[in-house]
Amino acid sequence: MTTSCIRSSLPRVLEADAEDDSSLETVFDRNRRGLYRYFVVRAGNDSHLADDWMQQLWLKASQHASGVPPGEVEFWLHGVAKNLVREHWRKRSRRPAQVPIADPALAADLSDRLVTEELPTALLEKKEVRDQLLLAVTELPSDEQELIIGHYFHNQSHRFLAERLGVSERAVEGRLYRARQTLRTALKDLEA
Amino acid sequence: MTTHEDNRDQLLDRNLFEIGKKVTLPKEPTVFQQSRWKRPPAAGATARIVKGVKRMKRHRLFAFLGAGSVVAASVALSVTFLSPGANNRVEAATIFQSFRDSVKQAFAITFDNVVEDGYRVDGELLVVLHEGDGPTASKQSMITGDIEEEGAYLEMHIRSAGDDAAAKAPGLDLELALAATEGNEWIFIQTHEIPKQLQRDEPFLAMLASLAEDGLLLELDGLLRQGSLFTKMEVRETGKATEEQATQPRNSFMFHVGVEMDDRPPPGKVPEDGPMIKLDLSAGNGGGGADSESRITRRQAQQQLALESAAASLGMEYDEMVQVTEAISNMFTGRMTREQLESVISWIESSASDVSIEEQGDGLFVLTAKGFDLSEWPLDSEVTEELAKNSIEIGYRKETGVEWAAVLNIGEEQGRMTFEFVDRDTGDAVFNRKNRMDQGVRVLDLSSLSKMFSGSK
Repeated sequence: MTTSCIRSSLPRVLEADAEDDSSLETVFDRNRRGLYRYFVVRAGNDSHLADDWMQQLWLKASQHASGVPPGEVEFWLHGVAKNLVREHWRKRSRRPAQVPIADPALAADLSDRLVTEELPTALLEKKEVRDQLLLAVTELPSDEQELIIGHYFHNQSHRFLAERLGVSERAVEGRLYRARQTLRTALKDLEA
Repeated sequence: MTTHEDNRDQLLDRNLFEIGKKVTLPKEPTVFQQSRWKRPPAAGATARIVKGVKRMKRHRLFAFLGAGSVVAASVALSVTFLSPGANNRVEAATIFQSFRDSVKQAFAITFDNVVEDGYRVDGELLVVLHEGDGPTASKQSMITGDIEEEGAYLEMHIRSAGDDAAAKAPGLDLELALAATEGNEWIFIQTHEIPKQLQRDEPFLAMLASLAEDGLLLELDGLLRQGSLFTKMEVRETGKATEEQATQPRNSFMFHVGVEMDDRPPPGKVPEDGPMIKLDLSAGNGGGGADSESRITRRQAQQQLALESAAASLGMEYDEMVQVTEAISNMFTGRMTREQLESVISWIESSASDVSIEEQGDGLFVLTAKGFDLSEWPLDSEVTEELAKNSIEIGYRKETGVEWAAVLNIGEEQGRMTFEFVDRDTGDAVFNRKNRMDQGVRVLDLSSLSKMFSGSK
């Protein structure tokens, strides 16, 4: 579990409903932490490379996002992010050992085992298993990613999340349920 | 949802909690880091791989954060220019010149994973220079103190490192941020964990741990400019802690935040038992004043103290230290003489065994120096041992100049620190206290309280 200031860093993305969420900057800001996590995991924890990708993403978004329908900007950003990562590693003959590599078979198996058995500790101590989980978590849409991380990695209660989101605890339960299903789907759909 | 589906979801829920315990997420980006994402990337920029600053003295590393540390950093950086051949001398001279020209707007020092004596520090310092000062004037501030920085921002994450048996304050985990610019001064503290033993020894820390658990923002607007806020918390592992209130000299912008792990008492102090953790939060802000002459005198006195301390740390004479610092200052201000440049290059040629200048495309050159053998220098042996494992890199791009300079492999776990030039508007984002105003953060308006108690309006 990280020791960084995660608890207070649940981004104001979760409060963005009250804002005008259509502008590129708003969408980018709302998704920035999720996008950064997406990059830094795929950079093998190289924060500088992740920062470079974030800069390139913002530059591309500034130049091209005007042609994207307002409701699809977030999806478009994630698509651009994916391409940036793919292009970067394609140009290099090999990836550093610490960069996670998607293993679709392993990830799909994990997805099934998550709902059929208590995962053994020894399994979670394997790097390749942790890699699949990190890849899948960071594939999630930003709002679901924040919920999963807040609740399961930082032990934020339903009540805490409800207060932060400005919704009922029951609503949080519902959102978490959907986020869990999305995570399983992300594991199943993980591409090499 | 059916019972079967419900059971599966409950199992998934339990498994995710276990995953949350076992899987470590990457470190969250700092506010400062986020502020840079919307800057246009350098054309064809490759991922930077450099960070670092040379330590003047093992115990005093963190105490040099701030304006004074740039002097320390520049002394370190001067050692990077190993130039075995004539061509490389030209390159090095060009890079020097560019370094001077680059310091126009603002600079940032980032340190990652710097581990020393059981503490791990990550953080960033941003200093924004007065617009229009120009490189000469702004760099003079490093030495003469004539010109103050326009604003400064610092964030740090301090944690204990190593296992509990070895750590000096096992479990310590706190974050600090400080911003000081005209009309905008605040300190943010978040105590993720302060060891129970420390809290028992120091009731103040216990109070702080409680107040700042979700974050504590101290509004300081006006207090720094009045010179009335200077808080130094000295916490000792054993013995009595002291909290000092002192008047920060007006217009002195020694931004001094650090953790000193010094098992020797500072000069003039009564020896105490056990090593000391000192959190020193102080920031004097710039500004005009009728007593500008005394301001400059105070600033120069502070700089002199810093140089004396640096000289003592390195085992050098004070005059030698001044000469070195002057050479570096002249490098920045463009007044470096040919002889000084040759001297610096000679120092480096005699010191590092491995130097290269590599072109990485798009006009980017990276100068690397490593394998420092400074045994002939008048330095403490522990310093030379430490420097021997450091390597230094400088990134220089044609047409735009030096982009960054750094030292790698510092501390006990390959820490890194980078010095880089940034745009002035980088500060706009990080100075904004709203970046810290999350739910649960307590706000204490010291500025208003001060006015209330002083009877001023």
